[in-house]
Amino acid sequence: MGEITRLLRSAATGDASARDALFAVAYPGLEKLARARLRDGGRNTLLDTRGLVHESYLRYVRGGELRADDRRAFFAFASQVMRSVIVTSARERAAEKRGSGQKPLTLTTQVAKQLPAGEDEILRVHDALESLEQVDARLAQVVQMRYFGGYSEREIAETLEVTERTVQRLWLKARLMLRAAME
Amino acid sequence: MSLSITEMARLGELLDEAMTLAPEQRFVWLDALSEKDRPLVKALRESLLSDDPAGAIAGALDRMPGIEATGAPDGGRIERHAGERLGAYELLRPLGAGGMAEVWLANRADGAFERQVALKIPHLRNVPTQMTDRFARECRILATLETPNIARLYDAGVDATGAPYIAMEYVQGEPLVTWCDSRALDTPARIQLFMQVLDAVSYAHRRQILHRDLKPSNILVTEQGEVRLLDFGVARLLRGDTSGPAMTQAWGNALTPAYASPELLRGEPVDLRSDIFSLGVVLHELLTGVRPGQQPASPTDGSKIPVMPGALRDTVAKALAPDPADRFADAASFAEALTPFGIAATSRMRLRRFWTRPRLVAALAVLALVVAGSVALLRPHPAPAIVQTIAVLPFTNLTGDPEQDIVADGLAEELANQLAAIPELRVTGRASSFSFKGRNEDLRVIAKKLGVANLLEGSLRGDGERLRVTVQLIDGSDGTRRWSSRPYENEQSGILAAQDEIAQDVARALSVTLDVGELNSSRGGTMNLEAARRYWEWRELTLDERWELENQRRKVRLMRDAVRLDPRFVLAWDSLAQSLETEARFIGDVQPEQAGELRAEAEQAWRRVAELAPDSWVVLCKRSDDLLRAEKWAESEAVARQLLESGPFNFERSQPLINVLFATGRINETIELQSRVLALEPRAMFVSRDLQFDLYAAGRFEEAEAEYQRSLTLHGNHANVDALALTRALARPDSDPQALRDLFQRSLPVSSQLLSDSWSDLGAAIPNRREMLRILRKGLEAGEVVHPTLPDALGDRDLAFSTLQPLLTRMRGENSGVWYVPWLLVHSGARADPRFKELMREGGLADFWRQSGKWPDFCGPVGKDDFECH
Repeated sequence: MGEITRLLRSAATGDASARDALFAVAYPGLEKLARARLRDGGRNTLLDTRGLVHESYLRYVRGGELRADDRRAFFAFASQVMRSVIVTSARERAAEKRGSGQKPLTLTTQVAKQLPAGEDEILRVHDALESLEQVDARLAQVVQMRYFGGYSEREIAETLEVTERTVQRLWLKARLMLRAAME
Repeated sequence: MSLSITEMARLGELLDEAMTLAPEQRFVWLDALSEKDRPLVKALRESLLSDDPAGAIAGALDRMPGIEATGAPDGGRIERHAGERLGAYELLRPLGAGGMAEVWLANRADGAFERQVALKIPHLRNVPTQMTDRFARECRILATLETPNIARLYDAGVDATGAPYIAMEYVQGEPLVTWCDSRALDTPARIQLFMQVLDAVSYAHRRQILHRDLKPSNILVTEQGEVRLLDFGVARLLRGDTSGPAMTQAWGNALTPAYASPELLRGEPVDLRSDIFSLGVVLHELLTGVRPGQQPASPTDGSKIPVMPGALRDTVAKALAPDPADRFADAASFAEALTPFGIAATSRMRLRRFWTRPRLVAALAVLALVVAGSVALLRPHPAPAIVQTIAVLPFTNLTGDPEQDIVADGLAEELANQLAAIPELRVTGRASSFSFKGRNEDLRVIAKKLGVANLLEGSLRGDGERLRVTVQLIDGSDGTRRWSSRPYENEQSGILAAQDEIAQDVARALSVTLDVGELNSSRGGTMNLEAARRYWEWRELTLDERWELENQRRKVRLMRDAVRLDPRFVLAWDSLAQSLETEARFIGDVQPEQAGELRAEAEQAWRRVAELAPDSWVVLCKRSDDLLRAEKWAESEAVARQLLESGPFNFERSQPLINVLFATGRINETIELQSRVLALEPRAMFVSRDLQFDLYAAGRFEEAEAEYQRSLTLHGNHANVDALALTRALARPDSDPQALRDLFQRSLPVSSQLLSDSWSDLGAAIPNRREMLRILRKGLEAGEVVHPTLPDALGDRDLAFSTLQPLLTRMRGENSGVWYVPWLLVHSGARADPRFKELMREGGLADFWRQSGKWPDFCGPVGKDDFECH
């Protein structure tokens, strides 16, 4: 946190390398935050990615330290980080369920069943998304931000500089394609 | 996965179409789909034909994914520690962590190779758990980036726990911008350094490899001032996005937004011009201290310019154009546009380094002057004799896809065009060569019909995605294969870009391997491609001779390898011997024992050449050189001329005659011959350097200066030519003292291990000529080697002779170049001195002139027994 603050201050004065470093530091920061949430007393076992990204973003922009034109890049970056955290966790859990993992389960499968989206779906979406990325990068970006990042259509529209209507159309098309790919 | 990428793409197109239709129209539309879209019908029907198409899918994926705590104390993030193993590597210490990966200094622990590496361990775990073929292949492609300016990728893999890693060359250096700032480099020096970056990027782009994350922290400069680019192509590997087409990028657009191109930020597919944009940002920052659009920094030293001059600004702006189409098409044209701004580079960096370091210097800088040669791109070259004839036959398309015919034809045609640009080559026109397309004629017959000695044929293989080209050089007289290329592999879209490489290799094969072929026909050249490749590298290093010890050592290593790979490779034995001798000469003063060992090894190598190929041109080279050393001028010249006639005109065959001509004073003739060599090897520093010495000896100082300036644009700084420029400048009474000091600093060889106290005193004495002469005299008395050109340039004829004598005594019989030195005394009137005449008598040159009638440019007969020089 201390380092991020320092980097943000340098970045605010136009220091180029500080802004680079900020991104370097932001990744582990975001990931740690995500992990911390997971351990939050068992009450909050679901990762609210959207809230998380907003929280960290707000933390960075408080005091106007992160410039407005960095916002879009930051959001896109954050959704990528989230995807990575989610997919990694899902893989770990899938491995544990197959009995190959070494880490003990701390939560019962009961809880796991209540999860909005199980690791199987996550991994299948992730795989299908890798194919979609090759076919249409923008569609894939929409899925990543919507599904893994939890952004609203308005936020995605802002980030991609398109209308909300377009995002809705893209999101529908992306899901149709992903569903076909995942079948 | 039930859909292929192609099917998925098609599905996307069909969905776009369908979504414009009213639901009831979709039945008709779906039934009308063509046969090849059948497999997609089911997916489309399910997606579109329900009562509520949007609703059918509305719930899908709408829930956020959740993940569950796993109980690992740190939440699953693996903490790594020194001493841990990852795959075959042992972690030593962390080097840093970035947004995408952490980096460790690591050792190969299984002994496969001994070398410290920078081990990159991605945070992102979406590299496929099983290392896919594609990932492996991607790594292999990156590993082919073999150029000194790009950090090598050695190895990549996934360890037992599924953690991916990438082992890269560990580079110790400073980021480009800070390196320049801490040395307060001026603009031209910065641009020169940036040219190295462009060279490296251009090299990778020619192999269709994009960097995608160019920024100052990925561009390091070593202590020696060499640029090293890190992480070429690694951005893609780290994201695990190894499955996409190589030239497009799907996403990951937030890596380093400050340097990313607009199209990369938008997540659109990118090509090499995205890298050009990033380079533009880097250059802007390098020159002004800030990135485009930022407030100019207040200049703290004179090294940065808050506002760029117009022409330079335009160049940078072109790289930064928002639309890729408006940017430079490639790194080479970027470099070309920058060249004028980099030429005036002075060497403040070296200046600083010199004055803060012990007096490490070179008597050898000076010994290095004892070499001769010549050239000029600045004057028209005599039309070279056609020495090789070749026809490029249409390439055979073995891909099984008739659509690739056009690629095969295009490659052959482009290759022919490129080869035709080589002056020494006559290439049969397309119409004639292609008339044999699809006809199964005997190669000998084709060669005869076309009237060529060589045929080039090639084949194209591969699948839908990657293509592989191989070419073969065929001897037209007997239809046998003289040379086979390595396979040139590339993505379909990029295969034509490989043609430059192919053309270069073919040209090399024609000028070099045909010679090996000659040897083969009698006894032992090489058919070992690895050995041949080392020889080519050796030759390139030779042509770009920097006269640095490390270079010599590398050359020795290369040739030791080559003869190990093929003990019957005559050219390699010969090259090994030459390089060993040169290295021995370098270290002879300080390490006489080691030098002796090297010379013994060289002797052995030469004996090997004589055994393997007693009648070859390689032996003629050596014989002419030996005779020159023995001061048997007429015999040496006879052998050198025989050699020149023995095969295609090239650098190797002309060198001995060039040496004889110079040593015997026929400088203008030397210049003519050397000019022909330069036409063949216009970028060869070695040749340019020699020409500068020739022009100097001929008193053609302006031409020498012009060639010097051109040579600076070739590879920048070169101690030999800088030393020569220094003597030229010393001879002019009006030279600017600062310019003299700069030249002096530049002329210090970087890697010499020799020490000379008076040399550094000499630098300090500039511009006091009397003091400089006093120091030179003192050095001479102390037994140091002082090059006679310095006192000559300072106008002290006596001292020039006093220094010439010990040099001759010491080096006669050992260095075939020692007799060049007297001809370099052009300023103090030394050639008209009776001592010069005495020297020429003593060396047997006077007799040679009289007997052969081949008088040098600056001497002529007087009466029956006498002569005069001026």
